[in-house]
Amino acid sequence: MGHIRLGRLPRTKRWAEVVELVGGSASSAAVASATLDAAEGDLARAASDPGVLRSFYLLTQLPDAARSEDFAAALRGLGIQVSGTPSTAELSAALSDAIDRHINSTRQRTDLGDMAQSAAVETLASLVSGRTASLFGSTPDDVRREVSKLATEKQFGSVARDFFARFAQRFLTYYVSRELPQHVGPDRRFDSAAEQRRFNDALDLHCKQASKIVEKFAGTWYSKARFEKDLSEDRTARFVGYALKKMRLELRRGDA
Amino acid sequence: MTSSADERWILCGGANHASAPEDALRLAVSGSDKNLTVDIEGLASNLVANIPPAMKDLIRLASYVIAADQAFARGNPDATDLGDSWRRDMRFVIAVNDPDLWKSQEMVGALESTLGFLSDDNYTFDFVAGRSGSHEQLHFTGPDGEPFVGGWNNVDVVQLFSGGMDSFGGAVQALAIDKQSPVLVSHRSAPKTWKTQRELVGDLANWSSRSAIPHVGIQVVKHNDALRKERTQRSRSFLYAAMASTVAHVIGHNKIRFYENGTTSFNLPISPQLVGARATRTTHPKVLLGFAKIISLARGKAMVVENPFELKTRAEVLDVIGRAGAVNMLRHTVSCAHVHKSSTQYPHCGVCSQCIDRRFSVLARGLENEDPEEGYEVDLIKGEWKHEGDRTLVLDYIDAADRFAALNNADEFLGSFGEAARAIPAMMERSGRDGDAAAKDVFEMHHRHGEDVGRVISETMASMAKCIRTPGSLSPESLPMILFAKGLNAQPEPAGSTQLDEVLDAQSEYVFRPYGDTWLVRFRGGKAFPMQQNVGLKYIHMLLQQPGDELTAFALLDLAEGRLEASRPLSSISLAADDQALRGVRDRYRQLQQDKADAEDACDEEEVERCEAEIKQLAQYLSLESGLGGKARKTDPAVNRARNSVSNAIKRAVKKIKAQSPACAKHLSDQLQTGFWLKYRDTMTPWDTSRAVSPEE
Repeated sequence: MGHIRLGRLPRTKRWAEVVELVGGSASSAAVASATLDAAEGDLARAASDPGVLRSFYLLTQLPDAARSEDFAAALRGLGIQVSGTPSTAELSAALSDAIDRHINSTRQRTDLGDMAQSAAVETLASLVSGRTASLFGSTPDDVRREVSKLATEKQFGSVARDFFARFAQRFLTYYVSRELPQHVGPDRRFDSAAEQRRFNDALDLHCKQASKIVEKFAGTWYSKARFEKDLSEDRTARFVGYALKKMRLELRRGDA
Repeated sequence: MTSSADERWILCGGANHASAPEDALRLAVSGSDKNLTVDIEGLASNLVANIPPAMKDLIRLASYVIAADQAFARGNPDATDLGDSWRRDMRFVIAVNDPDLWKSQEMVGALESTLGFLSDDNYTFDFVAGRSGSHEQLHFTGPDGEPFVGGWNNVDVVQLFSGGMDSFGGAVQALAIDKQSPVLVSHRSAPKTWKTQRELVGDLANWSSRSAIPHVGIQVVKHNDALRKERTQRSRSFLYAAMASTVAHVIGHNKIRFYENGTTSFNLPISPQLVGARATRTTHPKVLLGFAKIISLARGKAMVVENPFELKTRAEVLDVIGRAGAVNMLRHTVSCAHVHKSSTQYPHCGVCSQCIDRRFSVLARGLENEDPEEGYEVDLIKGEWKHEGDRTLVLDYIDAADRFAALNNADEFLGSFGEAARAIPAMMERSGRDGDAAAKDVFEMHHRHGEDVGRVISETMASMAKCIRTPGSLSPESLPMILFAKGLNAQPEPAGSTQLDEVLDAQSEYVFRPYGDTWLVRFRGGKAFPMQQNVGLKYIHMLLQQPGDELTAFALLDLAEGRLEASRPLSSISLAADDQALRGVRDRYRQLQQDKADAEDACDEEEVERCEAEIKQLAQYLSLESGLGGKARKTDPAVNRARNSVSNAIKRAVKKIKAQSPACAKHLSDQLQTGFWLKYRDTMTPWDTSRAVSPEE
């Protein structure tokens, strides 16, 4: 039990440049750019992936659920099964479960959906816990209050930025992680495991910086959609497609 | 119900379906089309008679699922198709004794969601009435040919027993700490595994001063190679659960136990490439809860499926074994995932995830003498991690452990390992704990695991510091050298060799520079390469120096020939565009309108403004040249000559670049606008176009 199936990047023409850059001295930004070229079209698939769309859609719905009279009932209305006003952990877990059930019902399990699911959970857990952290821990009411605050233009911009940064990071490292460990050790690109970790950190930073572009317009989009009472799945899906397109362009920049 | 093109049909137990294709996989454990034997060894004959039809159906169902799992290949592990070939759509049509029981919405839902999560496939189940007598066709034998007859009356607990460290720890826990009499249920995956399991059970009986311990072995024998295409077997634990629960049922018990350490049970992805069930979910809390639902529905009575080691690290399982005084048997347990490779000399490969985790745990508890390194084909510390996949695995394992250790609380943990959230609802439902408590437990276990691994590395490295500093003492492929050596074996470059990369600023990943009589090009941080002088490269260089600006072909001709004054002022010629150029501009115009609409929908004001500015520019251009829908005016022949000369030179240069760097050539093709008006469109790529000093200078 506990088996793991690892692969490596294929030595095909399509992936040759990525393999060469990872083994050479290219920056994380250059590797990201080459990876996006090699994985041509793969990121665009995310714009119609049920798991990706559901993950982001539920993130857009949480703040208003927290502002409703009965937070738990509003969550259950979204398919997020909680017993009462939830803690951060319970809310994160219920969000994950709701996405799982949606994916199961569409019979469209995909790697992209899986990446988005984890990204959504991590975004929620890190944003909410970061705001509710105190010496005395946080109560479910603290969690509800902080989730409701995410409904402002500025705060939702942070939610979207965090989600797309995490998703992009997962997407890129999904490929690059197959190659990196081959280049650790004497006479290899990375003298030590710490060097490899620094490269990963730089790639992470690259994704965070690239996601600034999404933050710029996500808050306005969210406020407008809320004002028009049309935070629908269709509208959210169009936004996800657009945000991914912008992320792709930003990630391909050499100096982002 | 609809059927997708990639759906695999599996007709089981003689079942048929009008929509099934001719090439549907047929599985049967009896009859003329029998291609599976479900062999159960060791169950007392009087108990066999008590197995109800629904539990036999459950065993058959689990056998069909694991057989189909192995019959359809999942594709190459190196595939980059985002899991398209990894996941399969499987539609089962199964003959059973009581179709109504199995067709219930609750049962089908539990089967499809549990197995879907377990093996990462999409399942559909249809059930039909079975043919007469099919429920009698399971095969039962006793150990060594004789049914096991003793000990069943005093059984306290039914538990799975693989013969690995964890299930051994579970048996020790039951026998010595809980003072219980267990029935051990094993999967006889290979003869050597069964032999190990039998010997260990014998050792446990002697150690606990019992005459015997009831031991049941299950085997699904596949009768042809078509059922052996895929080795991953992600659904295997469903068969184990079905078998153990059947044993529990016939002896009147309502609980079965898997014993697996928590980090393996949760099996959080240690690498970003491990998406879905690439990391197995064999005993994941969500899976065990799903098994309990399925089994409970099948038998019409609650069945608990639990893992008492769910919140213990593997090192803590060793603590259990140590407390019970059973460490002397540790060396006889086999945890290796590569059973097919194991030998008497090396029961452990040393490089699979299970061997790595076991070895770290043994070192963490100082039990090297009880589980000597000689039993590992590759030793964790001194062995050579030559194979690429092995090196990836060990480094990812350590990296994940370090990340676990660096986290401070459950919320941080969920913010970094979102996958962990999947286990919490099941833990809450099963134990009634709140989400915070469950998350805290899971976090703390992973944190302890991370600290154990970190401590082993620190202590090992300290003890081997001298070896690390002494060239030749350790292989450069050994773990200490991989983790810490700073190029001890690095050979200096031969004197006098000129590396093009050395003349470049390390920060310049995009370079297009003149270099002596040649050109130096580097794209996206790749290896720099020289290009022989040609005029097309000069034109590209000029365009890269002014990204986003349009230059005329005349201007490029002048600049390339060193003329700073325009030899053909624009006012002296007709600047009419040709039809082809106009078509290109109109396409761009339409694309920009769509881009603007998309940007407006997303409230991206910056992009809207950018699109509007370009649209305005193009509209003016089109209006001047021909009107938005008109034909091009007649072009000045001098314009045509200049356009063709410059554009063709650029295309030839890009073709030569392609031989050195296809990616660079593609980028330039995509971003260079040719024609009379030329432009490098990309304003974001930071090309270094300054002149480099050549060796002669």
